Amino acid sequence: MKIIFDRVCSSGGLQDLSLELPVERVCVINDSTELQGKRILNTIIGLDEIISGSLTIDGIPWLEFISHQPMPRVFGYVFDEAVMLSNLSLRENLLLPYRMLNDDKADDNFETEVQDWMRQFGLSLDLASRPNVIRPPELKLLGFIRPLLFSPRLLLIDNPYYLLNEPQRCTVLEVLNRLKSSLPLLILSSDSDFNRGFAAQIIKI
Amino acid sequence: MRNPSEKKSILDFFSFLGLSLYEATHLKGNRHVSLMVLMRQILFTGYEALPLISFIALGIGGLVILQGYSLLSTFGQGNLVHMILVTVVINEMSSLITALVVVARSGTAISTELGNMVVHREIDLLRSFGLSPISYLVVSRIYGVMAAMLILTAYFNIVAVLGGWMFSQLFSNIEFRAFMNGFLLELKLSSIIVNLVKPLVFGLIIALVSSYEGMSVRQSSTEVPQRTIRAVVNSIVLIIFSDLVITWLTWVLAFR
Repeated sequence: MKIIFDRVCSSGGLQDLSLELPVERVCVINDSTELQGKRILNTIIGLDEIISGSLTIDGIPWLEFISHQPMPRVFGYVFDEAVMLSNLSLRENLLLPYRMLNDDKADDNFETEVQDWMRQFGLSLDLASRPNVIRPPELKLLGFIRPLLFSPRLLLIDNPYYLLNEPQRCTVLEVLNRLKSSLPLLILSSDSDFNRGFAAQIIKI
Repeated sequence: MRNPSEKKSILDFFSFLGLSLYEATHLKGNRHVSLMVLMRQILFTGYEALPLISFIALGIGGLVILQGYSLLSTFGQGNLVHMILVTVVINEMSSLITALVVVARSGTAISTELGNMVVHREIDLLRSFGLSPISYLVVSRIYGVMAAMLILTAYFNIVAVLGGWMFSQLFSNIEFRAFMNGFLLELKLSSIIVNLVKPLVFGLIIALVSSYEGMSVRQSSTEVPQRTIRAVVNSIVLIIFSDLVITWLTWVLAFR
């Protein structure tokens, strides 16, 4: 997958950015300030609007690229912070994107898939709980699981180690190592784990 | 993420208004609108406000009867007290007071909740799923608040009339049936229509203004109370203004 920014100005603050992101397996954006990197991810996922310039993915304009499938099937996004809708339970939070998919059969496999991912991330949580009673690192790990349930074409990860302790970081790195052969990853991080040996491409900003 | 230098203008409000009304009127096939959010809004705005509305309606009904009777009886027109109950309570105060209660309870709650959702990036989360925050959060609230306003205003009217009768027992021994007969004779079709239109308009204003102010929070939690104050002030101003317009239109159309 090749993502090309051509003189893009965005509502989030990108100014005339031209950049090529060749996401073959893993592409890491190494931005010590994280500000520009965040803006790039936000523009790809559609949180920031493109004011001028063009963003193409595999030569297809961004809007056209995302219009053929529901967003969760195109891009998965792992937020740096543990973002969850506070008025919903964990299960309702994970189920919410199904609303987009117009695919009720997806619910059948939901429980099995969630349990499988939770095992891989070393999580043991009561999914009926509200997010406010769960510790932020565990919510962050659920934040990894949420997009993975929909097998997106590209997974964008903002600061994967943020909020996590050492054992949790190891778990995340192991899971991402397994994932990278089957799912393209675009990671914003300046951590050495992702910048040494892990990434196929490193874009320094 | 919005550019911090970006300022909100009146055009932003009209753009939000247009988009919200468009999505509210195009529900068919829109899977983003949440029935759960709608039901929770009706429960919070309508059902949970019933005790407060009961207390206020009972008091207002009683006060109008007491004041009206004492005034009219000096001219020997005590029997016209029903007219005052219909004119003051049914035509004007019920929808207006209900709207003020809903602004105080639900308008502030909507604005605060949405503002906090922006600060905690929950709106960004919805958008990252491709879910429209307007459909998911605002449209459900518009219908929820409008339905709750309609129910609460009808309830206010019933309790205020009963309160009026109860207080009328203090100075004259009017039978309930006679009281209701007098009341129903004064009640016109125009009053019923106005009582259906006003709550819907006020509910729409409260939901739209509160949602707009809540969603206008940028990144700082200190903006949330400021936006909530603006939601209350702007809602009240627009409610009074629209009340004047509806009442004036009713006169022009010679309903009375």
